[in-house]
Amino acid sequence: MKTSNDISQIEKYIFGKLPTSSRLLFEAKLLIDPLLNVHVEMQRKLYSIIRVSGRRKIKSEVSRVHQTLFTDPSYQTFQKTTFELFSKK
Amino acid sequence: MEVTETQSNITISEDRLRWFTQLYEDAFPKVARFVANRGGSFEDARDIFQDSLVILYEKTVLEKLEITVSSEYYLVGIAKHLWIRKFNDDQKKVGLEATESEITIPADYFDTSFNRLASLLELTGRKCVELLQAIYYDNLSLKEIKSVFGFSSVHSASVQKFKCIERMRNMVKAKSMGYEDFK
Repeated sequence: MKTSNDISQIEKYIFGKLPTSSRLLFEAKLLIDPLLNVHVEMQRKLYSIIRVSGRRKIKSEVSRVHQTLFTDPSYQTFQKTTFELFSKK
Repeated sequence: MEVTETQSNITISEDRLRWFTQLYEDAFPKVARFVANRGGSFEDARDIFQDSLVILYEKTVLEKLEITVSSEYYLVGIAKHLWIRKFNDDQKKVGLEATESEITIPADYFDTSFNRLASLLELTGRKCVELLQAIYYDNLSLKEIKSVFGFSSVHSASVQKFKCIERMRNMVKAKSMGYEDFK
């Protein structure tokens, strides 16, 4: 099987997008092919890692926005009203 | 601002920054007031709000959110959930509205077991990580991938995607061994 077919097949399996007949066939292959099992597990793990990494990317963009809003003088009013909320305690 | 309206135009970094800035200006004061009233600090409000923005982004691009409320309202709802989670505050005391109580936080959001592998992959395979993020996290179509990453065709974008998955998959396999977070 060509690698890209293999990867695409595994992807569909992981995301639950294989039609029933293909899924059953795939599960039968999983029973007899240890390497396929490893590939499925690693690919599943890769998607989780990509999500973690994507979250980090977005989080750093959000931090940048925060940095701008709380340092840029053009947002002075915004800064002042926000800080006041915490000084009243 | 309706969540559904913004779905297609926040997956590119510049537009996203504008979207986040707008939401920050509109909703951060509300979250800050909520946190301040419960004795939390500015830093608590900042942390909770930033995670809320990430979660809102995910819900907007990955889940087909069918909500009728505004992004701002939804964002404040997520923030309340995060507050409850972080400080074990009583859900009833916080007083969530009906629509707010239906909001869910992604089950794996605070899972740290892949952090180390993510750092390793970002370090050794930056380009592939960026491509796969755009496909699987930002949910861009291959057509969008083609123009954002400058591929000559959708086909070559797709070929690169498979190459990257294979390469990264092998890396995960190699790096997994000997790490505690290998399950």
